[in-house]
Amino acid sequence: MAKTDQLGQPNANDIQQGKYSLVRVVRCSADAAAPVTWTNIYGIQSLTLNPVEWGFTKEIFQQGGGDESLKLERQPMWTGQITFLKNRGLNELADFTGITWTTAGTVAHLHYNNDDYPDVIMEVVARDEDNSTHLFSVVIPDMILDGFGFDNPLDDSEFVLPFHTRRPPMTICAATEAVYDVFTGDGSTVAFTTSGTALTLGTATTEKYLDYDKLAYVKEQATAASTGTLKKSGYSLSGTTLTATTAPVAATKVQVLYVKDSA
Amino acid sequence: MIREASKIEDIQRCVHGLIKKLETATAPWSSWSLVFGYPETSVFENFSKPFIYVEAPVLVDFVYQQGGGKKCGIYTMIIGAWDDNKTGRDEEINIMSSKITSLFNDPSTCHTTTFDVTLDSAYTNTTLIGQGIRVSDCKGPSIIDGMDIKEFRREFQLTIRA
Repeated sequence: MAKTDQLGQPNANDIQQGKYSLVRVVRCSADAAAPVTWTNIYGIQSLTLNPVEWGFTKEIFQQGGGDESLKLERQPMWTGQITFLKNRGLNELADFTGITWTTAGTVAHLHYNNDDYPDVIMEVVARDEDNSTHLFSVVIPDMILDGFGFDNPLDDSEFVLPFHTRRPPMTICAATEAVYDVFTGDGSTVAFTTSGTALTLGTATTEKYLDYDKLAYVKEQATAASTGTLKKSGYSLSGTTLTATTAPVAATKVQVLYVKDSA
Repeated sequence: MIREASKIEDIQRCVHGLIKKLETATAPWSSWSLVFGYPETSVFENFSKPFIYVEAPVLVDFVYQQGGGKKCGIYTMIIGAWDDNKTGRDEEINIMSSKITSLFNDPSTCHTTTFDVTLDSAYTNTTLIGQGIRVSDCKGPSIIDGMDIKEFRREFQLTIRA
């Protein structure tokens, strides 16, 4: 590469506008299905995911090390917000919370989050200006909806839904898609067949928050539990066979998030 | 329901159909004629009473949703009132102006008044909202100068979301 290199004009698809992004979710507590079917979210005007904030940071020195330090960062949290067309957003809350928001179901959205359990996994599918060609996706696992307010000016207005997550979001490349498989343990089965072939996300031995090279996470949710528990070990993946070292207890949900080739 | 591929024409037909319903049944609207589109001189010179004309809407802005592809359109639309030497003074054109602005600035009336219209199929007793049309407001009138001191012409601009 020479210092006089001419790069020319940008490519048209170097620009990606949010209006061409498809946003979809699966409920973390979904019933067993491989895969769990995505639900498209309508009415989104903007979606913001903020950079990681660390709940604990410390700079560590050692005698003899001089000014060389290690920055210790723990307790990550990613916050963000989704802005909707007002009426549509209030209706879309039902997809996030899993309720039927009609007189036949649950009639109220309370403006606070009753627990800190993950609500949905979200995939923001960023597309080109044909509204179809996939450019990349951002996957936000274990999104937890926060309490929300209400804005009611004279003119058109929006509904803002804040959220946070403690699981690292990831950007995945074109022609891939996130997959959420949920299996039910029976106390004896150790092998589960994933609905797709998981692709490599990174090297678990060098990634702080990746426990398996090809799985964003594996969780087990017991019948009485409100949410799944992360399994940092105890599973292996070969092709489409997910094998547990110990058979999950009967009625336990095994929840697996990974990325597959869209082709 | 108004058709995506025929939105301009369908919106015009629906607004025309609404005024047509009033023209055929309700005073003082029944005192006026109604024209679909901009009227030719040779046509309206033969009218015996003042008339209202309904022009085609113009797309001026969009409302998006992420992933939507297609957009909701914001349109402006001209409704005109024309008294070409039929009454001799501006009293009638002012009554027409009042009725037009009152109708389209009263959302509970303009969106719930029923009318008949034929789009992809024939709709009976439909409404603007039923056809996917929402009128945000009606501004005006603008005074359009005529050739004669006794020719009175006014135009109004509707803002429509469809």
